[in-house]
Amino acid sequence: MKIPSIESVRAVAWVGSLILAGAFLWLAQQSSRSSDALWDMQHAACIEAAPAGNVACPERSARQQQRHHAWLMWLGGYLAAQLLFLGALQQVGRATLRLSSRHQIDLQLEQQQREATRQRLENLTTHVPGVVFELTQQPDAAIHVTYASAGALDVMGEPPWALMGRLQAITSKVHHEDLPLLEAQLLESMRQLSIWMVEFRFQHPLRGLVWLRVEATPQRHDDGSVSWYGLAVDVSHRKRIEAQVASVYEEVQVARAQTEALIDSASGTAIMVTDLGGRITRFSRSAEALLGWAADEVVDFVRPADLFEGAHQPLGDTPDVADLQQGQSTHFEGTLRRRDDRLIPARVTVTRLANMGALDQDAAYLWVMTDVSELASALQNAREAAGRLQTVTDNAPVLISQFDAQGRHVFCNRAYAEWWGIAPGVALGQTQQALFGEAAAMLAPSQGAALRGETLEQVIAPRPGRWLEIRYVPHRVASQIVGVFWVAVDVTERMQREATQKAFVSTVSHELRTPLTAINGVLGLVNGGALGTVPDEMTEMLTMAEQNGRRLAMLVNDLLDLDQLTEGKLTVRPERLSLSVALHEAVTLNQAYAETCSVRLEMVPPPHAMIRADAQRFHQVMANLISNAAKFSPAGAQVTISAEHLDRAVRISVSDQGTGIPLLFQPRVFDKFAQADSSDRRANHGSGLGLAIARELVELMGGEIGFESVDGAGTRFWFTLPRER
Amino acid sequence: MPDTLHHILHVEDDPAIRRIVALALGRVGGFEVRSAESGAEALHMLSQALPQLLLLDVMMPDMDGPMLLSQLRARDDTATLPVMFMTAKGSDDERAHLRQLGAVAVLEKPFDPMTLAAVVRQHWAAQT
Repeated sequence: MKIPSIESVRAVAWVGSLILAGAFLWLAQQSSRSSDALWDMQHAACIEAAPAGNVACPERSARQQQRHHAWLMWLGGYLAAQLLFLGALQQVGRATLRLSSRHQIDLQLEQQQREATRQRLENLTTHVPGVVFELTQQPDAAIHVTYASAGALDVMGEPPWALMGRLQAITSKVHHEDLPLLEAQLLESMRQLSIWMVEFRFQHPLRGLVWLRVEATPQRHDDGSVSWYGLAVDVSHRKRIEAQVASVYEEVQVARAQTEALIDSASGTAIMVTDLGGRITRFSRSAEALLGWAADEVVDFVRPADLFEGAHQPLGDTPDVADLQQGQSTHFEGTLRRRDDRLIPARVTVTRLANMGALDQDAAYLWVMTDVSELASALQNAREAAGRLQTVTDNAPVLISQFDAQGRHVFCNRAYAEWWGIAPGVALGQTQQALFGEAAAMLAPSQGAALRGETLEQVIAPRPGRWLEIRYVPHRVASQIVGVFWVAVDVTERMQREATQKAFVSTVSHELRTPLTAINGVLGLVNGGALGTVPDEMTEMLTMAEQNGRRLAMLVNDLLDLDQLTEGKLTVRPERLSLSVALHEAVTLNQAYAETCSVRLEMVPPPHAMIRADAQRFHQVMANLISNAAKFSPAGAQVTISAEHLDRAVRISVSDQGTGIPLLFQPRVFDKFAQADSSDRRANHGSGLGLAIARELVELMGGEIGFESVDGAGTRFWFTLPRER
Repeated sequence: MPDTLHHILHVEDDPAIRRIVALALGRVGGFEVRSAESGAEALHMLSQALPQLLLLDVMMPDMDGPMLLSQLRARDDTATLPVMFMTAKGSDDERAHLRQLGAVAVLEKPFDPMTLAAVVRQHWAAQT
């Protein structure tokens, strides 16, 4: 029961009193008017009935008095009514006061209960993983958020109070792709009063796009508006997993499609699938092409064995098809029989499928059959080529072998095996180290260098006294070094011959020079006058003997130099020399010889310079040029020695006044054993090696040699030597 | 070491060359030259008196020039005795090898007896 308040009671009192007063006033007036009218009517009748005034008709003043009485009566009535009304109201007010204090207590209790309920609700909503919310349709048909629990802060990134208000403020953050569905379902829910359930992407201010799931129950109010009570939760994690699952599923689909495509597209390779019972369940297009059977003719009708001719030839220790474990494969070579009875050599791989996901459920074995007829003929060709190669190399007097990148023999010929004393087959797959031990250690560095891309040659004695000249060539396949070719010649004989030759040259030179030393020494002493005077005629003879002794000595020297020159062993040891000192020495050393030719040696004072030369070799060159000049000069002539600066060198010249070098002979001046005219009257030309050796020496010292000759007007030989700063 | 060279000991197995060198250095060059025919004799003579220079043949029976030199280098009194080799071996390698053994010079055979003394003197001057 609703309890009126004291204020309302008071208000009723005032209003009631006024109404009462008004009512009495109005009634009194009405009554007075009607009484007036009645009195007037009776008064008029009275006057009419008793004309002339004999009849006692009431006086007007009486009516006035009557009216006052009436008014007093009304007033009294009104006061009584007012008193009654107020009294009643007072009773009501008292009762109200009493009731209202009891009601206050009731209200407080109710408030507390309500608060507890609210608290419980809040606890509940706070701990619900999501946002508990209420949406209410407003009179203007707009939908407002009228409640949102504390979970809003986590799920939507906004405090609950910020979400209150038009729903549109929230839907503006929904991903544009998901919004139409969300709105359509909300509308549907409103119309059908069905549960509103939707998942959509929502722009979370901190986490970016999150997936939210909303589930709300609508309720229609009496006024026709609708409210929803529901829950919104973050389902991003679940969505991610769903997406992953979807992508994996998609990959599986793609893989399956690829496998199918592969099976159908492999050309020259037939693929078929059989089940555990040996029934063909799948026969690829390539299989159709290879075997001439259509898939329809084969599937369910033909067994794998029917496709092969005769027995299989297993490759190595491969298990039988029936014994295969899941995931295991077996290989064999077989002959396929085509529909037209043509036979095809094939290499077959059968795999017991471990995972049937990508293939038919009843698949058990995958058969891959490759046409190897081309391969077989190529192999035959290769075998023949290898055979030819082996025959050719076995009959070559050269050691030939080939190594892989790990230094293991890939190939060797008979000469190689024989040289090392092994059977030809033994080497294959073995390293030299393993086979030949210490001897191979000597070869290892060169082999290593070849594996790094170097082509090199080596003369070495891997076995005592047995020499090999080895050539290592990197074996390249597509610019990658995959091994080394090894070609060697046994040069033991050559090495022995060379050693003997060397010993012989050394011995000969010593054995020739020792007596020559004695002969030339004696003749030198006698001719030099060290032993007293000699008769003139004898002097002439002795001088001839001495000159020939010297020629012989020079010949021996030239032969030795020639030997070294041929060997490429002629060496120089350049040092810093004074040009003028060296030239003066040269003049001094060759003075005696010049005198025997009756030739004067003249030196133009040389410029000051330091040169880089081997002193002994310098004098050898000078002796050569000066003796040549002296020999070819007429008696009494002059041989001029001069020097001049060039840019980075000095040029030393020896000029004579002889007959010059014949034009035809000029190109051969520096050749070995070259002589212009062996019938020259002096017959004193020496070995013909001098200029060849001189050129070699000058070039070894970093210079050049040349000449200018004018027939009949003499010759100028020159050579250059590097200048020292 | 005195600046002027006087006393030379020549070791050579070939008697003819011994004689020629003695004349070339003695009579022509004016040195005081003594000769030994073997390494053993040279060692004996060195123990009596030390020359200023030893002129040493390379190829000799029993004890060759380099062997004799190494023995001299091991003795206190001859450790720094200047030595020149005379050799009939012509190759560059051999000459370089002899020089490395510590020879003042390597003279070649055959030689000009009339200028031998001058050559020796020249090398002597160069090393002092």
